[in-house]
Amino acid sequence: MLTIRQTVLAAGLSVVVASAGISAGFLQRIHAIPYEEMDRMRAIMTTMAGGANTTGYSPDPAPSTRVVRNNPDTRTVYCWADLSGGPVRISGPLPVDDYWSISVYTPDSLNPVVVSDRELGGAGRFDFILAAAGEQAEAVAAQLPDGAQLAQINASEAAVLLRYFLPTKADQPALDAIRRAARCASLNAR
Amino acid sequence: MTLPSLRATIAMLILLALIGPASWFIGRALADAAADGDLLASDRLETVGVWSTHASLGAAEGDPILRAWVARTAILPLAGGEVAYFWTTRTTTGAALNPDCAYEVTVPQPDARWWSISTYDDRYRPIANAIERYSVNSRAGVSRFTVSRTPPDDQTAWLPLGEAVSFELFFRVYQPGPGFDARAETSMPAVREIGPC
Repeated sequence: MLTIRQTVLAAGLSVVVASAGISAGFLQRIHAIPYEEMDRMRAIMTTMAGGANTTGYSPDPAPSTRVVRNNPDTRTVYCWADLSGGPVRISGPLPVDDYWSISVYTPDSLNPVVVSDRELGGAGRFDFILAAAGEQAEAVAAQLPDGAQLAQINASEAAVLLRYFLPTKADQPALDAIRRAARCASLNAR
Repeated sequence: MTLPSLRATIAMLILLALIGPASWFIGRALADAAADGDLLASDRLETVGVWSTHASLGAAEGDPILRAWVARTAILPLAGGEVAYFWTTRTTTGAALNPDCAYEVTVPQPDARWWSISTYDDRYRPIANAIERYSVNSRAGVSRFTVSRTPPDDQTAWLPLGEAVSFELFFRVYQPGPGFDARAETSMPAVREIGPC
């Protein structure tokens, strides 16, 4: 039989263990969720594009989309960039009038890089080389091709998204011609 | 101090051994609920009238709960001031949106490169409809349109609700200019019930 003092001690210990367990479970899970969702994006992108460092073209928006709150106005070009074998080059023509951007998402789901057409100043084309920060980025910077921009991230892989906007369905053939000219490939690919 | 009996000590250790893993699973379940927006995450959002927003959905480094919620409900948002995102499940007067009702949405032409209003169902997916229209945008040439199941007289200004059981309106403003005040209710679309439910 426990004394009152022992019972209070046992109850206190239980509360401490329960609190620690809830906190540990919560923190472990809440930090894991963004990585899980990005793993899901990696699976979608590499499956639909046919691998990493390969250009993928989003289908028209539909209720069956696997991407939550997918913007129905955009027709995206995407690529899962795997930098473990070297930098990745993303290039192509720019649309003329409407908003366009390239954005990079690291496996923690954050968006460290976004560049829009406005920042490219009417160049008519975009040419980005994505590299891991450190030696890889320094090597690219030392031999950056004319007109190319270096984007560096603190990760060895990332989702790259090019957003093209479709004003009306009548504009789709012209927009598709532009976005299908976009390319994503390993910089070292021959 | 009197030591507890061996039996009481063993019972206590068994109890703690059960409480530990059980509470760990409870913590995980709470994290999933937070990421789904059922608790905690909504506390981190700002409101402009009946519209919810956050200044930087793509850059929530310091807030793991918000980051998990964004990953679950709005994956791959743009960071910084590139886009302002707003969403609501209420009319301007605060009534809950009901897909059996008809609504008039009036957009006060934002100073921006592009704006759009989309509808999403309770799983954050576009709502299936016969004309395959899921948004109204700045290039559509309308600033006032109907959101309803059945078509209005002017179908060019219609965002269909199909068979949705619930829905939200999602307002995106790309590269807002200085003339767009993201904290002003007057910058937000007005949502007014116009038809019987």
